[in-house]
Amino acid sequence: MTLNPEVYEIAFRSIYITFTATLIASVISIPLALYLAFHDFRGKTSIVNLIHTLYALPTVLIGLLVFLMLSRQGPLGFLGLLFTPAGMIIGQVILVIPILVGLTYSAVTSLDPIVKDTIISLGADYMQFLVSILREVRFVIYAAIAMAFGRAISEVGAAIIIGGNIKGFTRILTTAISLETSMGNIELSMALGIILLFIALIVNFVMTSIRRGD
Amino acid sequence: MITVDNLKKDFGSTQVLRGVNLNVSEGEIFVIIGPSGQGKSTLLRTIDTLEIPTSGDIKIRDESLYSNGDSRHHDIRKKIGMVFQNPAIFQGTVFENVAYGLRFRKISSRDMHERVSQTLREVGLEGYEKRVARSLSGGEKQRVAFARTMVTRPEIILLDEPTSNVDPITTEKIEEIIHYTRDTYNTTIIMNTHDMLQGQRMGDRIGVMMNGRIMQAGTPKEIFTLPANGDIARFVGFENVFDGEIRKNDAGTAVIRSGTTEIYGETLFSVGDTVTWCIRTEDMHLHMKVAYEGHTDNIRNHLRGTVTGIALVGPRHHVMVDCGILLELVVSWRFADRVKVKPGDHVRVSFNPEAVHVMPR
Repeated sequence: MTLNPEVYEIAFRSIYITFTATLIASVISIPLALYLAFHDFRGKTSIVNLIHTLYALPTVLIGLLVFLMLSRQGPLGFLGLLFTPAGMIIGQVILVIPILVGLTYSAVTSLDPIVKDTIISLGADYMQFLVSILREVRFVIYAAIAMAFGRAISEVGAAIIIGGNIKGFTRILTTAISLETSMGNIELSMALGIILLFIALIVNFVMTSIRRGD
Repeated sequence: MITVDNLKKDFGSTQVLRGVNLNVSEGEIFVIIGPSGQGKSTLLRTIDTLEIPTSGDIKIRDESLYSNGDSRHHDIRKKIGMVFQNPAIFQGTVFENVAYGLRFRKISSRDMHERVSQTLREVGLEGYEKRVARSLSGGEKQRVAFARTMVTRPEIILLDEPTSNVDPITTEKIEEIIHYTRDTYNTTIIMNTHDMLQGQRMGDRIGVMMNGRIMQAGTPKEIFTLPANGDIARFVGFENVFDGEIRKNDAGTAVIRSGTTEIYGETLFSVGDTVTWCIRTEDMHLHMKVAYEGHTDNIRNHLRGTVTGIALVGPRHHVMVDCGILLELVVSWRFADRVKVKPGDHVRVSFNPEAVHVMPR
């Protein structure tokens, strides 16, 4: 198994898709969380509650929704993203945005008001203020990113529906495990599962190292 | 330097600032004293543009902070620094904390290192650059907060109860830093405190803040000896404050009637005026001999009364005497021991008319 190039390929594809999805989701979520934290508008509380509810969004539901969007009859069907890694990335981005927005928002709003006052008082302009706030909550953001990565790389429902588990193209660790188990290849499934676990371990280790080196 | 003009600030239906007027000169240490919850912090926060006033204006060197609406990030902002009662210490080292405001000003790395080191020396934290700031003691954290503000060389520093959470030794150190900053950089400083004695030690002038207004501003001596009204008198430590009416006035020496008691006091109020008068506990004398023989010592007020209570405060005895009005006066423990004063004793209390301070009611 260890020399099987297909296994490596599946593992790297998993990492590539989830890494890209987490990166895109972070770029969208962090500014969104800051906007929510520092602007008041009607319906804000409902949005925050909705975000917290979406933490537990069933992945098959996301799969279904994205499938409907990307299918040939769907509004985004013309993009031809169904059964492609790009389509799977879209699914994972939607999956982890609530976690990233929710945890960043909670961290920023629960920061001691004196910290915010002190930053303004020291002469920060608006951008400097936001960057400083993020700096103060960076450990929570690191943890949120690690969590988002973990949720995305371990999900299977959306990946199967959107990606289609096409060998050599959209097959990733979780969908491969699902397939191999159903085919009775328990040993291979176990091996893929260990790789998945190993990736989670490495992500956690990297995040801890960043924190320690800070 | 700083002019506050009829400044008002409401939080919902609560009026916190009700028309504050204030002038502070360049290089002056102005101390605001007053009971808690009277708007001292809100005033400083408004000068620091952390709160937007409901109405009124603040001018820094004739430049208005609020005439153009929200000016939170106006250039004037960078001339002001503020140290809070519970300082926020950022993640990272002492150096990173102190350099925070310098980064906002895009100071070169070399200048930044020089200025941070110099400022840490000035606040007595030399060599602390690499320490983790959040691991420091409370007093050290407050000094880091000072350094962080001082290092940007603000023209104005606002201090919101900077020593209320630190030990006496740190308080002394911080007071030294405040004087040093003013003396070295000619910084204008406005400082809040609920500690009147600190106000007296630190302030070139003191403002007494009550009910959302500066009720009186003046030198420490003026505030502590010539309060403008009864509330201020009570706040600055006059135990004996009474309402009265002027019954006679003979060339500035008036007879003031309070209840059934009449006293002499030096004042220019006219007959019929209603006034408040006060006298300090240490400005009265206690005599165990009730009778007195004439005005030999030029003291005109001699009130007879009964001792109603004695309280030991530090090395002194506070003696309460009912003379129709309830007076509280101070005697040394030596005196109290010698004369064996006790509740129920008939005594005489004397004081000079010039020790009586008379205010409008």
